Amino acid sequence: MSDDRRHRRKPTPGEFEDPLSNYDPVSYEDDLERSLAEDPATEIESRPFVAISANTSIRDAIAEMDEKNIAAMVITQNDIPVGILSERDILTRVAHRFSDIADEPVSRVMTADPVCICETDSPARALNLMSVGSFRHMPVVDVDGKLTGVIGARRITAYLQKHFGEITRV
Amino acid sequence: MGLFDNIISEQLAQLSLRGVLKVDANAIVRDVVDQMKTRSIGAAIIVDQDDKPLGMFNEKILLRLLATSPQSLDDNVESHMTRSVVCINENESIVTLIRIMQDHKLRWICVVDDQGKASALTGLRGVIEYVSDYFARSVAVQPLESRIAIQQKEGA
Repeated sequence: MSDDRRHRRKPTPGEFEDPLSNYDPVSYEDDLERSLAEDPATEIESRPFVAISANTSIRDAIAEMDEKNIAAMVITQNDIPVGILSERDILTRVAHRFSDIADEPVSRVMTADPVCICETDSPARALNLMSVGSFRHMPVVDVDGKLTGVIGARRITAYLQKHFGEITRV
Repeated sequence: MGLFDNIISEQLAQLSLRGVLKVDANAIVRDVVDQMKTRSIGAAIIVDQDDKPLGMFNEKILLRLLATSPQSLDDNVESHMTRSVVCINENESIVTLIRIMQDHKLRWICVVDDQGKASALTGLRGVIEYVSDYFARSVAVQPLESRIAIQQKEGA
């Protein structure tokens, strides 16, 4: 990019230059790109969500996931996410020995220290973290690290579909 | 073209499609679960002798079985699979995939070729990776971290 485009007028030597005068606003090809890059992650629906304590039994956690038809639940301590239990955890850590560990605490099989997204981060960052970490669910936290929601696969589909509206009906 | 146009015009081949786990209708649920675990895949497609999809078994069904009747893990997978498998042709657009997943509340979709044979499995993960790749330059450089809460707030 040429200097002529970046500066309305080239500063003379020694003249104070406002750094923001160099700022080129980001341009986006379409509203989907803008939303992904600039909207808060809460633009993706993140509620309702289910949080349980680490002492809940695996049996009860699975029963609650089935009853509420959810694919993941967050394990919290003082509202801070300390783990997440997803259908994938059930498949890989529980299914083959369910009868042996059904009454153990969920902390034994949860994914501890889950990667979280801050509610002020962008949807693009949320999708990027999920892609890099191969997650399908991610807790949403506020600036104090307290759980405020959960972003999941189906909710992201709904977010994307919202941007395509009637086009997808063709 | 921007991301919006790409999603409308590009075909499923642009997504990172996953190899489909095909199992026989007589397979035991426990064995199917073991295969899903080994391949780290959330769904298995039950196919006939011509590789055409008959049903799907997925993590959601596994969860229900564990919650309601864990002894069912020793049944044939045919007795617990979903009998209507939503399929999508590999030549369809990405936006069609998004619409089908949303309309049918699906997480996995079986991709079929022109002969109707199961050729791959895709789902939201493929779409997430596709969108994420588009933003790779601006977002991927950020560190993957679990503790994002600010320990000591600065400024106002």
